[in-house]
Amino acid sequence: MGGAGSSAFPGPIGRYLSGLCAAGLGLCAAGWLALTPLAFGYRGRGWHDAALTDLATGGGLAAVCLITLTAWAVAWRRALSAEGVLSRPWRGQARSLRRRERDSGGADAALDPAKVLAALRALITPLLDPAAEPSATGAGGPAVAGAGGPAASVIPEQRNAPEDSPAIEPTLAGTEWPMTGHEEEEW
Amino acid sequence: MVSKIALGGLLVMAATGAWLVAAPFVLRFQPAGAPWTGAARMDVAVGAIVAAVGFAGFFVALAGRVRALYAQAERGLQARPHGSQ
Repeated sequence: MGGAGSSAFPGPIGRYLSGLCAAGLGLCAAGWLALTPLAFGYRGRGWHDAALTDLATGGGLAAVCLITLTAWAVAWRRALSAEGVLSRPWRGQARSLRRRERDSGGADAALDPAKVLAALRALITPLLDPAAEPSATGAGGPAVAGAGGPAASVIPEQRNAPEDSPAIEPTLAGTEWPMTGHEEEEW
Repeated sequence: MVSKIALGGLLVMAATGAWLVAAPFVLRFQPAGAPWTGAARMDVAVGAIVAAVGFAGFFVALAGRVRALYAQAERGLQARPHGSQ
């Protein structure tokens, strides 16, 4: 009983798996109960108590186990989505997203692929074009592998001095990353 | 809500197993003192298995929930600054 670190308690996966396995075994038992009057022949002598009991109990048990199985599967899926393991939104969320997109009249709908390609080209062209860096072929500049080709790759020089990153470090200095609970627990 | 349904389903399953064990005697298709019929033997065996599986699943799931609560509380204590305790 050592608390969170103890391995005596099952983890979240064990919890959901145990629920799913128990419900699955119950479903098998329900099927067996429904088949028992036929398999053992006490169905043939008319509807006596044992056959009726087995059939009714088997049917009820099957319904309960199906509901339980579905509930465990949904709970597991929600927990995985809340932890970010499943990135794809599940059906209800996807439907509401589609509805919101449709209601907004497509204003913020999918971007135009031609515009995206043009923007990407504008970003990449200066990096690939050797003429864009006129001093790059000098003595101190980076070496150009296969210069003259249409897409010559530029190998940057090795830097001996430590790189200063004044734009990033002050923002990170003293920042305390919050530890927030990420588990979706609803009871 | 879904977790409650799931745990409740396991409890109902265990109760169904207990009912199966008791059914031959409650419904009198297994008279007391007489040799056991095949139906009674089958009901008692299947009912015992279903009840055991239902209880085991329920308590394992409950233990997992307790563990998650412990871990959540531990994370909350670690995230809280020392002065505010």
